[in-house]
Amino acid sequence: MEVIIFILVVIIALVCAYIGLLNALNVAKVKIDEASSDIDVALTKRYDVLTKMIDVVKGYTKYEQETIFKTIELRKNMSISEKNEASKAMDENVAKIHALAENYPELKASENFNTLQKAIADVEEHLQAARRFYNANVSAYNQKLVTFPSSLVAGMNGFTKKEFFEAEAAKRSDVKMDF
Amino acid sequence: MEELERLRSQYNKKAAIYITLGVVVDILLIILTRNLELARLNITITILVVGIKVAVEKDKYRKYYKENFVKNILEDIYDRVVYNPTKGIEERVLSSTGLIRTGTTYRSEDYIGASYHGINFEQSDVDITVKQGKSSRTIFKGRWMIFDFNKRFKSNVMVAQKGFEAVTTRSMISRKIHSVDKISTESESFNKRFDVYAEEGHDAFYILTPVLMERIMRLDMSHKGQLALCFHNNKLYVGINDKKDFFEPSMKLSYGDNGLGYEDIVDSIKDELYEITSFVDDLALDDDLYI
Repeated sequence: MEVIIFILVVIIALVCAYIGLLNALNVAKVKIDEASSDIDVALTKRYDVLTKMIDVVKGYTKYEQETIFKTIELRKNMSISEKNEASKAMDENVAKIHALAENYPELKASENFNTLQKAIADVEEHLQAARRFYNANVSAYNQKLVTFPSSLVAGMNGFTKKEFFEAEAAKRSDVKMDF
Repeated sequence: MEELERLRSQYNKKAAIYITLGVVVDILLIILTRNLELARLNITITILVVGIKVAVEKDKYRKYYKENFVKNILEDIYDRVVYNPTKGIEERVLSSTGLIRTGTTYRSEDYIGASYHGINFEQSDVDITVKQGKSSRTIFKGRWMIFDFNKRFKSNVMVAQKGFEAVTTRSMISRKIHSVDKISTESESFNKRFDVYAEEGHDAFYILTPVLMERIMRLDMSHKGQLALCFHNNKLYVGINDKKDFFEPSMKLSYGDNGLGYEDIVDSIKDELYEITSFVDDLALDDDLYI
Protein backbone atom coordinates (compact mmCIF):
# COMPACT_ATOMS: atom_id res chain seq x y z
CA MET A 1 0.00 0.00 0.00
CA GLU A 2 2.81 2.36 0.94
CA VAL A 3 4.61 1.52 -2.26
CA ILE A 4 1.52 2.42 -4.28
CA ILE A 5 1.14 5.75 -2.47
CA PHE A 6 4.84 6.47 -3.02
CA ILE A 7 4.56 5.72 -6.74
CA LEU A 8 1.44 7.91 -6.99
CA VAL A 9 3.24 10.81 -5.26
CA VAL A 10 6.19 10.47 -7.65
CA ILE A 11 3.88 10.42 -10.68
CA ILE A 12 1.96 13.48 -9.47
CA ALA A 13 5.26 15.30 -8.82
CA LEU A 14 6.53 14.45 -12.29
CA VAL A 15 3.27 15.60 -13.91
CA CYS A 16 3.38 18.88 -11.95
CA ALA A 17 7.01 19.39 -12.96
CA TYR A 18 6.15 18.68 -16.60
CA ILE A 19 3.26 21.17 -16.54
CA GLY A 20 5.42 23.78 -14.80
CA LEU A 21 8.23 23.46 -17.35
CA LEU A 22 5.79 23.50 -20.28
CA ASN A 23 4.13 26.63 -18.92
CA ALA A 24 7.51 28.30 -18.47
CA LEU A 25 8.39 27.56 -22.10
CA ASN A 26 5.03 28.92 -23.31
CA VAL A 27 5.42 32.07 -21.20
CA ALA A 28 8.92 32.56 -22.63
CA LYS A 29 7.47 32.26 -26.14
CA VAL A 30 4.78 34.87 -25.38
CA LYS A 31 7.44 37.23 -24.04
CA ILE A 32 9.35 36.86 -27.31
CA ASP A 33 6.18 37.71 -29.26
CA GLU A 34 5.62 40.80 -27.08
CA ALA A 35 9.21 41.88 -27.59
CA SER A 36 8.86 41.30 -31.32
CA SER A 37 5.85 43.62 -31.50
CA ASP A 38 7.94 46.12 -29.55
CA ILE A 39 10.44 46.02 -32.43
CA ASP A 40 7.57 46.61 -34.87
CA VAL A 41 6.52 49.74 -32.97
CA ALA A 42 10.10 51.04 -32.89
CA LEU A 43 10.65 50.32 -36.60
CA THR A 44 7.39 52.07 -37.53
CA LYS A 45 8.32 55.15 -35.49
CA ARG A 46 11.75 55.21 -37.07
CA TYR A 47 10.23 54.83 -40.54
CA ASP A 48 7.84 57.75 -39.88
CA VAL A 49 10.60 60.10 -38.70
CA LEU A 50 12.88 59.00 -41.53
CA THR A 51 10.16 59.71 -44.11
CA LYS A 52 9.78 63.24 -42.72
CA MET A 53 13.55 63.72 -42.84
CA ILE A 54 13.74 62.56 -46.46
CA ASP A 55 10.96 65.02 -47.36
CA VAL A 56 12.90 67.87 -45.73
CA VAL A 57 16.09 66.78 -47.54
CA LYS A 58 14.27 66.64 -50.88
CA GLY A 59 12.98 70.15 -50.28
CA TYR A 60 16.47 71.52 -49.81
CA THR A 61 18.19 69.45 -52.50
CA LYS A 62 15.40 70.33 -54.95
CA TYR A 63 14.77 66.61 -55.55
CA GLU A 64 18.23 66.14 -57.15
CA GLN A 65 19.05 63.28 -54.80
CA GLU A 66 15.65 61.64 -54.77
CA THR A 67 16.77 58.35 -56.26
CA ILE A 68 19.58 57.62 -53.84
CA PHE A 69 17.25 56.62 -51.02
CA LYS A 70 16.28 52.98 -50.62
CA THR A 71 12.64 52.08 -50.74
CA ILE A 72 11.50 50.49 -47.50
CA GLU A 73 8.40 48.40 -46.93
CA LEU A 74 7.01 47.62 -43.53
CA ARG A 75 4.31 44.95 -43.43
CA LYS A 76 2.44 43.15 -40.72
CA ASN A 77 3.80 39.78 -39.53
CA MET A 78 7.29 40.30 -40.90
CA SER A 79 9.85 37.69 -39.82
CA ILE A 80 12.85 38.73 -37.74
CA SER A 81 15.18 38.51 -40.75
CA GLU A 82 12.77 40.75 -42.77
CA LYS A 83 12.74 43.25 -39.89
CA ASN A 84 16.55 43.09 -39.86
CA GLU A 85 16.62 43.91 -43.58
CA ALA A 86 14.19 46.83 -43.14
CA SER A 87 16.28 48.17 -40.27
CA LYS A 88 19.48 47.93 -42.33
CA ALA A 89 17.82 49.76 -45.24
CA MET A 90 16.80 52.55 -42.83
CA ASP A 91 20.38 52.69 -41.52
CA GLU A 92 21.63 53.23 -45.07
CA ASN A 93 19.11 56.02 -45.67
CA VAL A 94 20.10 57.75 -42.41
CA ALA A 95 23.78 57.56 -43.40
CA LYS A 96 22.94 59.07 -46.83
CA ILE A 97 20.97 61.89 -45.19
CA HIS A 98 23.93 62.76 -42.96
CA ALA A 99 26.30 62.65 -45.93
CA LEU A 100 23.96 64.92 -47.96
CA ALA A 101 23.64 67.39 -45.09
CA GLU A 102 27.41 67.97 -45.32
CA ASN A 103 26.97 69.16 -48.91
CA TYR A 104 23.95 71.37 -48.27
CA PRO A 105 24.80 73.85 -45.48
CA GLU A 106 21.30 75.36 -45.52
CA LEU A 107 19.86 71.93 -44.80
CA LYS A 108 22.31 71.37 -41.94
CA ALA A 109 21.41 74.72 -40.40
CA SER A 110 17.65 74.17 -40.73
CA GLU A 111 15.79 74.04 -37.41
CA ASN A 112 13.36 71.51 -38.82
CA PHE A 113 16.21 69.21 -39.83
CA ASN A 114 17.92 69.53 -36.43
CA THR A 115 14.69 68.73 -34.59
CA LEU A 116 14.23 65.64 -36.77
CA GLN A 117 17.85 64.61 -36.14
CA LYS A 118 17.20 64.62 -32.40
CA ALA A 119 13.96 62.73 -32.96
CA ILE A 120 15.72 60.09 -35.03
CA ALA A 121 18.42 59.72 -32.37
CA ASP A 122 15.71 59.03 -29.80
CA VAL A 123 13.79 56.54 -31.98
CA GLU A 124 17.08 54.76 -32.66
CA GLU A 125 17.64 54.48 -28.91
CA HIS A 126 14.14 52.96 -28.64
CA LEU A 127 14.94 50.54 -31.46
CA GLN A 128 18.17 49.53 -29.70
CA ALA A 129 16.18 48.96 -26.51
CA ALA A 130 13.57 46.90 -28.37
CA ARG A 131 16.36 44.86 -30.00
CA ARG A 132 18.14 44.22 -26.69
CA PHE A 133 14.86 43.37 -24.96
CA TYR A 134 13.94 40.95 -27.75
CA ASN A 135 17.39 39.31 -27.72
CA ALA A 136 17.32 38.98 -23.91
CA ASN A 137 14.01 37.11 -24.15
CA VAL A 138 15.26 34.93 -27.04
CA SER A 139 18.42 34.12 -25.07
CA ALA A 140 16.39 33.10 -21.99
CA TYR A 141 14.08 30.96 -24.16
CA ASN A 142 16.92 29.30 -26.13
CA GLN A 143 18.72 28.51 -22.86
CA LYS A 144 15.62 26.66 -21.68
CA LEU A 145 15.69 24.56 -24.86
CA VAL A 146 19.21 23.32 -24.22
CA THR A 147 19.25 22.89 -20.43
CA PHE A 148 17.92 19.90 -18.56
CA PRO A 149 15.10 19.20 -17.69
CA SER A 150 13.26 21.82 -19.77
CA SER A 151 15.08 20.50 -22.89
CA LEU A 152 13.17 17.23 -22.52
CA VAL A 153 9.81 18.96 -22.36
CA ALA A 154 10.80 21.26 -25.25
CA GLY A 155 11.79 18.26 -27.39
CA MET A 156 8.52 16.45 -26.63
CA ASN A 157 6.44 19.47 -27.67
CA GLY A 158 8.31 20.60 -30.77
CA PHE A 159 9.78 23.86 -29.43
CA THR A 160 12.54 25.21 -31.69
CA LYS A 161 15.23 27.85 -31.28
CA LYS A 162 14.43 31.46 -32.17
CA GLU A 163 16.79 33.71 -34.09
CA PHE A 164 18.26 36.89 -32.65
CA PHE A 165 17.66 40.35 -34.03
CA GLU A 166 21.11 41.14 -35.35
CA ALA A 167 23.24 44.24 -34.85
CA GLU A 168 23.69 46.29 -38.00
CA ALA A 169 26.24 44.63 -40.28
CA ALA A 170 27.85 48.06 -40.98
CA LYS A 171 28.51 48.55 -37.28
CA ARG A 172 30.09 45.11 -36.98
CA SER A 173 32.50 45.57 -39.91
CA ASP A 174 35.88 47.29 -39.43
CA VAL A 175 35.72 51.05 -39.63
CA LYS A 176 37.91 52.43 -42.41
CA MET A 177 39.81 55.53 -41.30
CA ASP A 178 40.55 57.77 -44.28
CA PHE A 179 42.61 60.91 -43.47
CA MET B 1 33.72 80.71 14.74
CA GLU B 2 34.05 81.65 18.41
CA GLU B 3 30.35 81.06 19.02
CA LEU B 4 30.55 77.71 17.23
CA GLU B 5 33.49 76.63 19.34
CA ARG B 6 31.74 77.88 22.49
CA LEU B 7 28.67 75.75 21.70
CA ARG B 8 30.84 72.73 20.90
CA SER B 9 32.75 72.97 24.20
CA GLN B 10 29.51 73.62 26.08
CA TYR B 11 27.94 70.52 24.55
CA ASN B 12 30.93 68.31 25.40
CA LYS B 13 31.14 69.65 28.96
CA LYS B 14 27.41 69.29 29.66
CA ALA B 15 27.32 65.81 28.09
CA ALA B 16 30.19 64.74 30.38
CA ILE B 17 28.48 66.29 33.42
CA TYR B 18 25.07 64.75 32.74
CA ILE B 19 26.51 61.30 32.07
CA THR B 20 28.72 61.42 35.19
CA LEU B 21 25.84 62.68 37.36
CA GLY B 22 23.56 60.01 35.99
CA VAL B 23 26.05 57.23 36.75
CA VAL B 24 26.74 58.58 40.27
CA VAL B 25 23.02 58.90 41.09
CA ASP B 26 22.35 55.36 39.88
CA ILE B 27 25.23 53.89 41.89
CA LEU B 28 24.12 55.75 45.01
CA LEU B 29 20.53 54.58 44.60
CA ILE B 30 21.64 50.98 44.13
CA ILE B 31 23.78 51.16 47.29
CA LEU B 32 21.10 52.88 49.37
CA THR B 33 18.02 50.94 48.29
CA ARG B 34 19.58 47.56 47.52
CA ASN B 35 16.48 46.91 45.40
CA LEU B 36 17.23 45.48 41.95
CA GLU B 37 13.83 46.31 40.44
CA LEU B 38 14.03 49.90 41.63
CA ALA B 39 17.61 50.07 40.44
CA ARG B 40 16.57 48.89 36.95
CA LEU B 41 13.82 51.51 36.83
CA ASN B 42 16.22 54.23 38.00
CA ILE B 43 18.78 53.31 35.37
CA THR B 44 16.10 53.46 32.64
CA ILE B 45 14.87 56.87 33.82
CA THR B 46 18.45 58.15 34.12
CA ILE B 47 19.32 57.02 30.60
CA LEU B 48 16.17 58.72 29.28
CA VAL B 49 16.72 61.98 31.12
CA VAL B 50 20.45 62.13 30.36
CA GLY B 51 19.74 61.20 26.75
CA ILE B 52 17.20 64.00 26.35
CA LYS B 53 19.42 66.58 28.03
CA VAL B 54 22.44 65.64 25.89
CA ALA B 55 20.29 65.60 22.73
CA VAL B 56 18.98 69.11 23.47
CA GLU B 57 22.53 70.48 23.86
CA LYS B 58 23.66 68.67 20.73
CA ASP B 59 20.72 70.04 18.77
CA LYS B 60 21.54 73.61 19.79
CA TYR B 61 25.05 73.16 18.49
CA ARG B 62 24.02 71.41 15.25
CA LYS B 63 21.32 74.00 14.55
CA TYR B 64 23.77 76.87 14.93
CA TYR B 65 26.27 75.18 12.60
CA LYS B 66 23.69 74.46 9.92
CA GLU B 67 21.97 77.85 9.96
CA ASN B 68 25.10 79.95 10.15
CA PHE B 69 27.64 77.95 8.17
CA VAL B 70 26.07 75.30 5.97
CA LYS B 71 23.34 77.63 4.67
CA ASN B 72 25.78 80.46 3.86
CA ILE B 73 28.26 78.17 2.14
CA LEU B 74 25.50 76.58 0.02
CA GLU B 75 24.30 80.04 -1.03
CA ASP B 76 27.85 80.88 -2.10
CA ILE B 77 28.19 77.72 -4.18
CA TYR B 78 24.79 77.63 -5.90
CA ASP B 79 22.96 80.51 -7.55
CA ARG B 80 19.54 79.36 -6.46
CA VAL B 81 19.38 77.03 -3.51
CA VAL B 82 16.78 76.02 -0.96
CA TYR B 83 18.16 74.59 2.27
CA ASN B 84 16.14 73.43 5.24
CA PRO B 85 18.13 71.78 8.02
CA THR B 86 15.08 70.46 9.87
CA LYS B 87 13.04 69.06 6.97
CA GLY B 88 13.80 66.60 4.24
CA ILE B 89 12.25 64.73 1.32
CA GLU B 90 8.76 63.63 2.37
CA GLU B 91 8.08 59.97 3.04
CA ARG B 92 5.27 59.82 0.46
CA VAL B 93 7.68 60.96 -2.27
CA LEU B 94 10.06 58.03 -1.70
CA SER B 95 7.19 55.67 -1.05
CA SER B 96 5.65 56.54 -4.45
CA THR B 97 8.64 55.00 -6.22
CA GLY B 98 7.62 51.59 -4.89
CA LEU B 99 11.28 50.80 -4.40
CA ILE B 100 11.81 51.57 -0.76
CA ARG B 101 9.84 50.15 2.12
CA THR B 102 8.99 52.74 4.68
CA GLY B 103 9.11 51.51 8.25
CA THR B 104 7.80 52.40 11.66
CA THR B 105 9.83 55.57 11.77
CA TYR B 106 10.82 57.84 8.90
CA ARG B 107 13.04 60.80 9.62
CA SER B 108 14.60 63.16 7.12
CA GLU B 109 16.52 66.43 7.38
CA ASP B 110 19.00 68.65 5.57
CA TYR B 111 16.86 69.26 2.51
CA ILE B 112 18.72 70.86 -0.39
CA GLY B 113 17.04 71.90 -3.62
CA ALA B 114 19.38 73.40 -6.23
CA SER B 115 20.61 73.10 -9.78
CA TYR B 116 23.93 71.84 -11.12
CA HIS B 117 24.90 72.11 -14.82
CA GLY B 118 21.24 72.83 -15.56
CA ILE B 119 20.03 69.69 -13.77
CA ASN B 120 17.63 70.33 -10.91
CA PHE B 121 18.19 68.13 -7.90
CA GLU B 122 16.94 67.58 -4.37
CA GLN B 123 18.61 65.70 -1.57
CA SER B 124 18.13 64.93 2.09
CA ASP B 125 19.42 62.67 4.84
CA VAL B 126 16.96 59.88 5.57
CA ASP B 127 16.62 57.42 8.47
CA ILE B 128 14.17 54.54 8.28
CA THR B 129 13.66 52.12 11.14
CA VAL B 130 11.41 49.08 11.45
CA LYS B 131 10.08 47.35 14.53
CA GLN B 132 11.46 43.94 15.37
CA GLY B 133 9.63 42.57 18.33
CA LYS B 134 10.21 44.95 21.20
CA SER B 135 13.21 46.69 19.65
CA SER B 136 13.63 48.63 16.42
CA ARG B 137 16.24 48.30 13.71
CA THR B 138 17.56 50.82 11.23
CA ILE B 139 17.17 49.57 7.68
CA PHE B 140 18.27 52.75 5.96
CA LYS B 141 20.54 55.54 7.07
CA GLY B 142 22.05 57.72 4.42
CA ARG B 143 20.90 60.10 1.73
CA TRP B 144 18.32 60.19 -1.01
CA MET B 145 18.73 62.33 -4.07
CA ILE B 146 16.27 63.17 -6.85
CA PHE B 147 17.54 64.39 -10.23
CA ASP B 148 15.94 65.47 -13.48
CA PHE B 149 16.56 62.66 -15.95
CA ASN B 150 17.41 63.23 -19.58
CA LYS B 151 15.09 60.61 -21.09
CA ARG B 152 11.29 60.45 -21.15
CA PHE B 153 9.81 57.08 -20.24
CA LYS B 154 6.42 55.66 -19.34
CA SER B 155 6.95 53.14 -16.56
CA ASN B 156 9.06 52.65 -13.45
CA VAL B 157 12.46 50.97 -13.54
CA MET B 158 14.14 50.02 -10.28
CA VAL B 159 17.78 49.05 -9.80
CA ALA B 160 18.99 47.95 -6.37
CA GLN B 161 22.28 46.56 -5.21
CA LYS B 162 21.83 43.01 -3.97
CA GLY B 163 21.34 43.00 -0.22
CA PHE B 164 20.05 46.60 -0.10
CA GLU B 165 17.99 46.07 2.97
CA ALA B 166 15.38 48.79 2.61
CA VAL B 167 14.34 47.69 -0.87
CA THR B 168 10.96 46.06 -1.09
CA THR B 169 10.80 42.54 -2.42
CA ARG B 170 9.35 41.98 -5.84
CA SER B 171 5.98 40.87 -4.43
CA MET B 172 5.76 44.01 -2.33
CA ILE B 173 6.67 46.18 -5.30
CA SER B 174 3.92 44.47 -7.31
CA ARG B 175 1.36 45.31 -4.67
CA LYS B 176 2.45 48.92 -4.38
CA ILE B 177 2.48 49.79 -8.05
CA HIS B 178 1.70 47.85 -11.19
CA SER B 179 3.09 44.37 -11.53
CA VAL B 180 6.79 44.28 -12.25
CA ASP B 181 9.12 41.79 -13.86
CA LYS B 182 12.65 40.99 -12.83
CA ILE B 183 14.91 41.90 -15.72
CA SER B 184 18.18 40.23 -16.71
CA THR B 185 20.34 42.55 -18.74
CA GLU B 186 23.03 41.31 -21.11
CA SER B 187 25.76 42.33 -18.66
CA GLU B 188 26.51 39.42 -16.32
CA SER B 189 28.61 41.57 -14.01
CA PHE B 190 25.76 44.09 -13.68
CA ASN B 191 23.24 41.31 -13.03
CA LYS B 192 25.51 39.86 -10.32
CA ARG B 193 25.72 43.17 -8.48
CA PHE B 194 22.23 44.59 -9.01
CA ASP B 195 18.62 43.43 -9.17
CA VAL B 196 16.54 45.18 -11.84
CA TYR B 197 12.75 45.39 -11.78
CA ALA B 198 10.56 47.10 -14.36
CA GLU B 199 6.92 47.47 -15.24
CA GLU B 200 7.88 47.43 -18.94
CA GLY B 201 10.95 45.52 -20.07
CA HIS B 202 11.42 47.91 -23.00
CA ASP B 203 11.81 50.91 -20.66
CA ALA B 204 14.42 49.01 -18.63
CA PHE B 205 16.55 48.49 -21.74
CA TYR B 206 15.84 52.03 -23.00
CA ILE B 207 17.10 53.55 -19.76
CA LEU B 208 19.82 51.03 -18.87
CA THR B 209 22.04 51.34 -21.91
CA PRO B 210 25.40 49.50 -21.74
CA VAL B 211 27.12 52.86 -21.17
CA LEU B 212 24.80 53.78 -18.27
CA MET B 213 25.19 50.36 -16.67
CA GLU B 214 28.96 50.74 -16.81
CA ARG B 215 28.70 54.19 -15.22
CA ILE B 216 26.43 52.90 -12.46
CA MET B 217 28.92 50.14 -11.64
CA ARG B 218 31.78 52.66 -11.51
CA LEU B 219 29.77 54.95 -9.25
CA ASP B 220 28.93 52.02 -7.02
CA MET B 221 32.62 51.25 -6.60
CA SER B 222 33.47 54.84 -5.80
CA HIS B 223 30.79 55.21 -3.10
CA LYS B 224 30.76 53.43 0.22
CA GLY B 225 27.46 51.91 1.20
CA GLN B 226 24.74 50.28 -0.88
CA LEU B 227 23.17 51.91 -3.89
CA ALA B 228 19.60 51.90 -5.19
CA LEU B 229 18.21 53.79 -8.18
CA CYS B 230 14.66 54.29 -9.30
CA PHE B 231 13.64 55.83 -12.63
CA HIS B 232 10.18 57.16 -11.89
CA ASN B 233 8.06 60.00 -13.36
CA ASN B 234 10.93 61.06 -15.64
CA LYS B 235 13.20 61.56 -12.63
CA LEU B 236 16.08 59.59 -11.16
CA TYR B 237 15.90 58.72 -7.47
CA VAL B 238 19.17 57.59 -5.87
CA GLY B 239 19.56 56.14 -2.40
CA ILE B 240 22.92 55.55 -0.73
CA ASN B 241 22.72 53.51 2.44
CA ASP B 242 26.08 54.37 3.99
CA LYS B 243 25.12 55.04 7.62
CA LYS B 244 26.38 58.61 7.28
CA ASP B 245 24.84 61.88 8.39
CA PHE B 246 25.80 64.81 6.22
CA PHE B 247 26.50 68.42 7.18
CA GLU B 248 27.30 67.54 10.78
CA PRO B 249 29.66 69.69 12.84
CA SER B 250 32.74 68.21 14.46
CA MET B 251 32.20 66.97 18.01
CA LYS B 252 35.80 66.22 18.81
CA LEU B 253 37.95 68.64 16.81
CA SER B 254 37.87 72.25 17.97
CA TYR B 255 37.10 75.29 15.84
CA GLY B 256 39.06 78.50 15.76
CA ASP B 257 42.71 79.50 15.73
CA ASN B 258 43.94 76.24 17.19
CA GLY B 259 41.70 73.96 15.21
CA LEU B 260 39.44 73.88 12.18
CA GLY B 261 39.01 77.14 10.32
CA TYR B 262 36.26 78.46 8.09
CA GLU B 263 38.05 77.12 4.99
CA ASP B 264 38.08 73.63 6.54
CA ILE B 265 34.30 73.83 6.98
CA VAL B 266 33.90 75.00 3.37
CA ASP B 267 36.09 72.11 2.13
CA SER B 268 34.20 69.52 4.12
CA ILE B 269 30.83 70.77 2.83
CA LYS B 270 32.15 70.83 -0.76
CA ASP B 271 33.34 67.22 -0.33
CA GLU B 272 29.84 66.24 0.79
CA LEU B 273 28.25 68.13 -2.12
CA TYR B 274 30.60 66.36 -4.50
CA GLU B 275 28.77 63.14 -3.56
CA ILE B 276 25.66 64.69 -5.15
CA THR B 277 27.23 66.33 -8.18
CA SER B 278 29.27 63.23 -9.03
CA PHE B 279 25.99 61.58 -9.98
CA VAL B 280 25.24 64.32 -12.51
CA ASP B 281 28.77 64.15 -13.96
CA ASP B 282 29.35 60.40 -13.88
CA LEU B 283 25.91 59.46 -15.19
CA ALA B 284 26.03 62.32 -17.75
CA LEU B 285 22.59 63.50 -16.65
CA ASP B 286 23.26 66.85 -18.32
CA ASP B 287 23.53 65.19 -21.76
CA ASP B 288 20.49 66.70 -23.49
CA LEU B 289 20.67 64.64 -26.67
CA TYR B 290 17.33 62.99 -25.98
CA ILE B 291 15.28 65.94 -24.79
